[in-house]
Amino acid sequence: MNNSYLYGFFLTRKAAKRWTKACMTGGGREKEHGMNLFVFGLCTSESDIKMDLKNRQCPDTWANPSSSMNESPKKVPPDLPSFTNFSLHKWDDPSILDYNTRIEQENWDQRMGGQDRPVNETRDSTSTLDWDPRIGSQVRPVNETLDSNRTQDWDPRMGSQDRLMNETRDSSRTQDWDPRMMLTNLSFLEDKIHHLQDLVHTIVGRRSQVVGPTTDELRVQQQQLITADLTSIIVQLISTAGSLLPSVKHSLSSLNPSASQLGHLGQLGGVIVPSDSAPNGSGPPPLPPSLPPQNNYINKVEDQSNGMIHLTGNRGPEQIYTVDEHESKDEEDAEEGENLPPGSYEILQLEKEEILAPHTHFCMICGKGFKRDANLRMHMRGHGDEYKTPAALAKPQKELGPEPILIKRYSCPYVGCKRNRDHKKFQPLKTILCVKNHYKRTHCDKSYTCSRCNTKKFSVLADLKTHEKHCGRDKWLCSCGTTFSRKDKLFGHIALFQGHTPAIPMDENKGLVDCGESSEAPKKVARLSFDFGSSGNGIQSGVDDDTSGFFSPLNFDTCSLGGFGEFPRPPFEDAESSMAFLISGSCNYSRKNGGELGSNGQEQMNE
Amino acid sequence: MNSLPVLSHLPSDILAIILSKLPSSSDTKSFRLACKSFHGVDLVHRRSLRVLRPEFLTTLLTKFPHIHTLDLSVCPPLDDVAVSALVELTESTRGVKRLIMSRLAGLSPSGLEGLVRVCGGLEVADVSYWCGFGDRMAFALSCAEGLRELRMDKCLGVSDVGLAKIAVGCGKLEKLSLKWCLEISDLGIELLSKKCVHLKFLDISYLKVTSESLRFIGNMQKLEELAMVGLKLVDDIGLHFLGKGCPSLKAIDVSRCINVSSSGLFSIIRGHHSLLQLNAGYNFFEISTTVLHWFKDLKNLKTIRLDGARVSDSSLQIISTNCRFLAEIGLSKCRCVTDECIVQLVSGCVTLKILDLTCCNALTDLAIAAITDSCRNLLCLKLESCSLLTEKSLDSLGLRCLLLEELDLTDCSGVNDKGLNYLSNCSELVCLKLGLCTNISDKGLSYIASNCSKILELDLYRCLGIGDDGLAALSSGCKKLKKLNLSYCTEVTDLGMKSLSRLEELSDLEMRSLSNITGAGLSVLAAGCERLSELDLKHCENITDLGFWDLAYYSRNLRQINLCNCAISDVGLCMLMVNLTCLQDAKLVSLKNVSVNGFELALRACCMRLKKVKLLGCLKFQLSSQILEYLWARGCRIRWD
Repeated sequence: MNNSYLYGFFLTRKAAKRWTKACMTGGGREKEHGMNLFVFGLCTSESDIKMDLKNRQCPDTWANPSSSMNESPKKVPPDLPSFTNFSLHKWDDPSILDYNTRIEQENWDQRMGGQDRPVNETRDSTSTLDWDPRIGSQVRPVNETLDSNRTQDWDPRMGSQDRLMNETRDSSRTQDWDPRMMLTNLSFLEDKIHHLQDLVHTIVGRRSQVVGPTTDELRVQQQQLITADLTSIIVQLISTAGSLLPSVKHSLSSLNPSASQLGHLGQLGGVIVPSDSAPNGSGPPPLPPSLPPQNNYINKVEDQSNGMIHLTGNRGPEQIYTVDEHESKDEEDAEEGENLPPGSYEILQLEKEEILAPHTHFCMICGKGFKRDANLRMHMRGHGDEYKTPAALAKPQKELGPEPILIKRYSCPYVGCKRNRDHKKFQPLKTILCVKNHYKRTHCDKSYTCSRCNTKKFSVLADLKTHEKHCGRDKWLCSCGTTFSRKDKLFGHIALFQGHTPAIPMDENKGLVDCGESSEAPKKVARLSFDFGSSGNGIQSGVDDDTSGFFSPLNFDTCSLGGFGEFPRPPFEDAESSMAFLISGSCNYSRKNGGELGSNGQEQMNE
Repeated sequence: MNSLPVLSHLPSDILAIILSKLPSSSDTKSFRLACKSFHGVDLVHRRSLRVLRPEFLTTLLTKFPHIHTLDLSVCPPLDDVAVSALVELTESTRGVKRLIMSRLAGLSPSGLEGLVRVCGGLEVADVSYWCGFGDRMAFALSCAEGLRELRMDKCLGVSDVGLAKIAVGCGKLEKLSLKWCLEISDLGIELLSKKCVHLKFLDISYLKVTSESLRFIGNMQKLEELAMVGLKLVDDIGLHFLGKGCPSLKAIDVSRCINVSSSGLFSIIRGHHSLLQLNAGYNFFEISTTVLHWFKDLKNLKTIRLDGARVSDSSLQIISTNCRFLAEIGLSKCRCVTDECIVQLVSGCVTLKILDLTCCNALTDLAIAAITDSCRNLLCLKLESCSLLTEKSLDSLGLRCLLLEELDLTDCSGVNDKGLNYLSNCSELVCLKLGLCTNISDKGLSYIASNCSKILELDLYRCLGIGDDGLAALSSGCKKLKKLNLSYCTEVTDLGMKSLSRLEELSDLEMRSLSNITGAGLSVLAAGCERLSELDLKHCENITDLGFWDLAYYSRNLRQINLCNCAISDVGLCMLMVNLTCLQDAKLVSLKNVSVNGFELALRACCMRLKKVKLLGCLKFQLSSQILEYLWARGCRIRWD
C-alpha cells in the first residue's frame, strides 16, 4: 500500500521507474526511502496534490532535463560551470531578477493558498530563482507560522553545529513518548478542526449573502487562512502519530509541507536551468577558482542545501530523484558502452577475494566491501573528517563533500577478460554489483543448480531465481538446444533453419503426449514379478541399452551438426533465453562465447 | 507323378515365372510344398513376408534373403528383443523397403528406431492404428530418411512435434496419411507443407485443423491427392486457398466438412479443371446450379461422390453431358433420386463402373433397367434399402452386367429366390450382400452357389430362410469363400457347420445367435476350416466346452474371437487362451460360467499375445492389478463393457 501510494506522486513515469529500481537495488536504503517518501506523500497529499496533478499534466516539458540536471551538479563535474554560467547570465539581467522575485513571492503565497495556476504559467521564469537564499528568507515567515523549527533547516547560513543540535533535539523529542501528551495533542487538534469548520461556515454564509462578485483579494485571503490552519493541523497530526513510529522520527523534521514544497521548487529549478546547458559529460573540468563570487555563492547554496537535507534526515523529493538517477544512469551507461574518454574516470580493480566475498556494502571511494553497513561507516571515517560527524555515521550511503569526485569505473581482475583493464577493447564495468555479477557469471563455477530441471546451472543466485520462474515453461526444445516457451515459436524456428528438428526434453516429458505407454512399458515389465523366463529379462536389458543410445544428447548433436555448419550463430528470436539456456554439449558454439552473451543478457535484465 | 521329373528339370528362372503367375496364396503354398527345388525357388523369389510369430522373425528373414515387404501387422506384440536379434542380419534386412506395422504393439521407441535402422532402405512404412504410437515413436521413425510413404492413421499420440520431426527427417515423403491423428494442429501442417515439398498424397481427415492449414497446403506444388474428410473447422475460405493453390491437384475429398458450402466447392472446381476425383459427400443439402454449371469444365472427372445431397434430374443431366468419362458416381442417401434422374445420368455416362445408390429408396426396376442398358461394364452396384426393386432388376443385371463383381442388395425385400436365379448369371461376382433379404431361401442360395464360384464374401445376415441345405450348396459351389456372415440365420444347425467345414479358405465367420449350434458343430468347423482367423460366436449359448476344446486344438490361426454370452467354462476359456497362439483380440463379456479366477488365469496365459481385450466392467476391480498392469505395459488395450 505504501509503495503504490507513493507511486502516484512521482511526477513522471521515468522518475517512478527510477525510484522502484532504487528500491530494488538499494538494499537497506529502500526502507528509509520508503518511509520518507511516505511522509512526503502525506504532506503533498493534502496541500500539494493539486500541484502534483498539474505537474503531471506536462511531464514532457521537464522529464528529460530533470534526469540530466539533478545529478549533474554532484556527479559530473564538467556540468557545473555550464550551470553556473547559465545562472550568471540570468542573474545579470536585473529585469528578470526583479520580475522573478516578484513572481516568486506572489507565487509562493498563491501556492500556499492552493491556487497554483500562476506557478505553471510563470514557471519558466521563476524556476531559476528557487534556490536564491533571498527567497528562502521570503518564505521564512510562512514557514514560521507553521513550524518554527523548520526555518532553521532552510537557512543556508546555518552551521553544522546548529544542524546537529536540531537533529539531536528531534530525536530526543520523539524518544520520550507520553500518552497524556498525546491526549492533549489530540483534543487540541479537535478544537482546531472545529474552529476551522466554523470559519468555513461563516465564509460560506457570507458568500451566499453577497451576491455580487467578491473581490479576488478577499477570496485569496480566506483561502490562505484556511489552508494555513489546515496545514498546521496536518503537521500536528502527523507529528503526533509519527512519535509512535520509531522509524519516522528521523523524518519528522521534514514533515513541514513548506519544506516539501521547497523541494518541489528545487525540482523545478533543477529542471529548467539545464535545459539549454551544455550536454552531459563534455564540459570543461571542475570549477576554476576564479569564478565570479555570485557563481560561487550559488554553488555553495546548492551544496549546502543538499547537505542540509541530508544531515537532518530530510529526504525531500528532489533528493530522492538525485539518488535514484545516480544509480540508474550509472548502470544504463555501462550497457550502452558510454564514451567516456579513457582518462576521465578512475579505474578500480578489486581482488578476486574481495569480489567473491559476501559483501553487500561497498565504499564508494575505495571500493572495499563490508558485510555490515555499520562497518562501512566506521571505515568511511578513514576517508576524511566529513565522515566523522554523527550525521554522516547515521546516513552513510551518500557520497558527500562539496568538491565533485572523480567518476569510478571497475575492472575485472581476470586477465584476458574484456572487462579487464589490460584488454585492448577494455569496457569498464559500472558498479561493484556489475563486477560481482560479471565475475561470478564469467569466471566462476556454476554452483546453483535448478532443482526443478536439474540441468541448468548458475553462478549467480538471482539468475537461478529468474530461471526458476520460467523453468518448465520453456518446454519446446529444438535439436540445436534452443528452448522456446511457445510451440509456434519453435515451429517457426524449425521452419527457418534447415536440419533443425524438435527434440524431446531429456529431463521431463512434459508436453508430449505419448511417452506413458510406450516408454514406460518396458520398465513396468521388468518390475512385475511374473515368471516369463528369459524374455522378460531380455526386454529389460535390451531396452535399457537402447534408450541410452538413442536418446542421448549426443544423438541430437549428430543430427543437427550439419545444419549448424551453415548457421554458426542463428539470430534466435528470444536471445535471452536461447543463449542463457544452452544445453551443454548440444551445440557447436564455443562455450565461452555463449556464456558471455548469456551473461550480458542477464546483466541487462537484472539492471 | 509322371510330370514331376519334367518340372524338376525346368531351370529356376522359368519356375520363378510360373510362381509369379500363380493367382492365390494357397496356390503358392502348394507350389512351395511340392518339392525341394520348388521350395528353393520360392525362398529366393519371395518378396513379401507376413510374420505371424515374432519368435520366427529372425529365421524367416535368414531364409528369405530378398524380402521387400515385411508385414508385422498380424504379429502379436513385438518386443525389442526380437528386433535386436535382427541387427546381425543386415544383408537380408537391408532389402526391406516396405514395413507394415499397423496395429503393432509392444515395441519401444528405441526398438522401432533399431528396426528402422536395420531396414536401411525403408521407403514405405505403415504404423496406422498402432496403439501408443506417439511423438517418441515418431522421433524413432524419422531416422528413415528415404521414406516415401507413411501411414499414420489414428496414431492418437502423435502431436505437432512428432510430425515436425518426421517432416524434417523424412523430406522425401510423397504419401502421408494423418487421418485421425487428433493432436496435430495447424502448426504441424504448416511445417509439413514447408518441409515435405515432394508430397503427392496427403490425408488429413478428421484433424482439428482450420482453414489456415489449407492455406499452407495450397502452397504445395506437387500435391495431387488431398483427403480432408470431416474437417469441422474448415470453411469456404480454406477451400478458396485450395482453389487458388495446389496446381497439381487431381483428387480431393471434402466430404463431411460441415462448414463448407457450395461456394467453397465452386472455387475448387474453378481452380482445378483437370480434377479426376471429387468427393463432396455429406456437405450440402443442395448443390446450387451455378456450381453444377461449372462441372462442364471438369471434362476428365472420373469419380464424383455427392452423397447426402439433394439432386435433381437437371443436375445429373449436367453431369452426364459434361463428364463423359465418369467411372464412379456416389449418390448414396441423396434425396429425390428418382428413376428419371438415373435415366438422365446413365444416358451420358456409359463408362460407369461403380454406382452407389444406397438408400435411394424411390428407385424402381426402371432405373436398374436403364443402368444395365447403358453401363455394360458395371463392376460395383450398391442398392441397399432400395425396397421397390423386384426380381426384374436382378434379371436385367443377370442379363447385361456380366462383369459385375460386387452387389449390395441388403434390405431389398423384393429379392427372392427367382431373382437370385437370374442374378446367378453374373458369374464374376466376388462380393454379394443379401443381409435382411428375408424372402430368400436355400433354393435361391443354391443358384448363386452353383454359378458364382468366385465369390469370396457373402453376407446372409438375418436371412431367416437360409438353412443347412443352403450352406451345403454354398460349400460345394463357392470353394473360395473367405468371409461369411451367418448371424441370426437361426435355422442353421450342426449339419450346416459340417458343410461349412469343407470351405478351406474360410477365414472370417460371423455366426451370432445360432442357438442350434452345439459343441460338436464347432468341433467339426474348427477341424475343417484351418484358416479361420476371425470368429464371432456371440450368443451361441449351446456350444459346450467340448467344442471350445477342439477350437483350441485346431484353430491355430485364430486372431480374433468373440465369446460374449457363451457358455464356456473356466477350463474351456483357459484352454482357448493357452492354445490359440495367434489370438490377439478377444471379447469376453458376459461369460456366466467363468469365474474371476478363470479370467485371471486365462489372461495370464495369453497376456503376451493379446493386443485388445473386452471385459466386463466389474472385473476391473476383481482382477489382480498385476495382470492389468502387465497387459497395459505390453500395449494391450482393455475395453471395459
